[in-house]
Amino acid sequence: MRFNKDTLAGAMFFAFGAAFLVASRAYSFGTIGHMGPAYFPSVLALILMALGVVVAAVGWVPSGAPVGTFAILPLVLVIGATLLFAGVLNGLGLPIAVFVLTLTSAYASRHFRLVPAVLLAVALALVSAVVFIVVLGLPLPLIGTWIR
Amino acid sequence: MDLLTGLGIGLEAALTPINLLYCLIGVLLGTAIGVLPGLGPVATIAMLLPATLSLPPVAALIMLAGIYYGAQYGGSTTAILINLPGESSSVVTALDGYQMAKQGRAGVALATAAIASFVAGTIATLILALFAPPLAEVALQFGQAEYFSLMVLGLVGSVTLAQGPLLKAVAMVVLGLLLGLVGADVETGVLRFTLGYRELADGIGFVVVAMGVFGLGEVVRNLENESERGLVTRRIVGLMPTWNDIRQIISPILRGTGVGSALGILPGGGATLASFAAYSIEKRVARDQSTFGKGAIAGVAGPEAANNAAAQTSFIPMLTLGIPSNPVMALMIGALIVQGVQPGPLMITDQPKLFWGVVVSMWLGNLMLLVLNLPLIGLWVRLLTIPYHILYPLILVVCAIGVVSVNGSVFDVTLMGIFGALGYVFWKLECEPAPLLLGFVLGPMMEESFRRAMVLTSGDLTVFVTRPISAALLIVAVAALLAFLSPMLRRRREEAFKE
Repeated sequence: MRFNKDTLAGAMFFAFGAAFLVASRAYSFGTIGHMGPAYFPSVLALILMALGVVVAAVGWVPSGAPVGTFAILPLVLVIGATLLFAGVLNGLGLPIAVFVLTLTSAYASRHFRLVPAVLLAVALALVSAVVFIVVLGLPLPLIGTWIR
Repeated sequence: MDLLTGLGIGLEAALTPINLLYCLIGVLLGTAIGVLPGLGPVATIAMLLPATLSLPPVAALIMLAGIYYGAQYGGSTTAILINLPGESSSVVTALDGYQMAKQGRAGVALATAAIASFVAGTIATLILALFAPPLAEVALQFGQAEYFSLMVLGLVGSVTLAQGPLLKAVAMVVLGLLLGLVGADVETGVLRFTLGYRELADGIGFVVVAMGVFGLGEVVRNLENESERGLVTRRIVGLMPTWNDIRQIISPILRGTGVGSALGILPGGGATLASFAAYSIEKRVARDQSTFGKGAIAGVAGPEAANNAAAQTSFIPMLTLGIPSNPVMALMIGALIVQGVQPGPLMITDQPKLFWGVVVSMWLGNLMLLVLNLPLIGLWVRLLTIPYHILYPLILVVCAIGVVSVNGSVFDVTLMGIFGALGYVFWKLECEPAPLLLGFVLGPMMEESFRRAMVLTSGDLTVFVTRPISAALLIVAVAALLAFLSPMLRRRREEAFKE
């Protein structure tokens, strides 16, 4: 298997197309004069799958550019921090959620140092609570349901 | 309605203290963002969208527009001072601007950029005011088939101007269209592709996709190549261009404005391409080509005029047809729809205050930038000293809170995280995300117009080629695709994006 930017991208497009095509089967297709909910997405999904095959083939024949290494740690930390924020926002409240988000994501940097990062996290937690809840009045919890 | 009445309405709307304030906030924020590399206008506008929801539509659009053209100014400042273009549209400005700075003419280069942008902005705003209303009249004649073909043209435009391989860009458009279809089917109400999540019944939020792919994805991508930012702060002396300088920049500014205005209107066109085109034109018409790359003042004036003109005229398709010509315009349409305003040909007559208010505020914003930009250069340069490892957690916090505040839904934050990961994967696989975003916005509109066209003709596909306007639009789209597949243009395009 030749993994490069093109074959992987082609595989990705094919997979997305296939997923949409399979999911479309649950809805009625209809006719061209009276299309059901599945008609337009099925056509697009087929086009996407075809494009995926072509993109992959283009990469396969002259052997496209190598993908290179993924920056796994920053990816996991940044996305993980975001998901963590989503997970604890209602339970722990906005300030703690912001603190967790900042500290977790800050660790992804090459320049991470604990003390400045904690200070930044505390500062952002306080500022966001004041700006978004007190000043702008967004309906976000200051203290979450788990610790109330 | 004639131009003067319109401008009168616009002045009335734009000159209220509150709208002036939002215009000022917009241009200041935009300049700051333009200065900071790694934080583009798309990500910022996406970040600030939720904040504009509580504003009236006029104020919201004025502020968002200010961010957009403010970013064009800011990007050129860092390009000139430290050879670091804050925006892709100011990449070419760095070529000669930085050389001028090295020769001690930084002040002149900055002033040239500011003057060029202002003149171009003024002319392009007039073009917008003159051409948008008649274009909207034409658009009112459009049927479903014309709209469908127009959207095809818009998507083709975004594809041909995307960086990287053409096929991948096409695939990204199709993927975007599919993602746009998630949610309740407009005609039957059937929930599609929601995977059982009730939160997806209204579709995937536009802000979620934009912030995920452009905000989070960019952060991960920047962390991959994290480096120290070198900063050369020198005292900037001799701000004012001499009479001789001014004589030298007049024609480049006018040529740049022309090129920029034309490219800005084209679907998919935008500031970046305009600045590249203007630079190559200046180089071609110059008497002494050897000065280019060594501090030619025309190499600063032309592209700077072009990118600002294009930024203004790219509003024309958005305001008259409801079709975004670039990702920023897609965001503006998103903002307007959330506000309950449907962008399209009826907007100018139905919402004259909105349309003319934005037009006038664009000119005011450009004036503000000219007045503000020069004295504030020192401040902008200092902004650059904020290290990225402090900046990106802040970006994440704003993104996360911003997404939550749109619907009060934590689910959206999770979804944004997923799109962030996808955005990074796209970048790793050289799949430009801008076409995806355009497809995402146009997906539901395209399906609707396609289905309606088919119902009206009982499934006659030839309607797209037998109706003259529709056929013309499709021919232009096909021609654009073929042109970009031709080897000569392809090489040119690669040269233009080689940076």
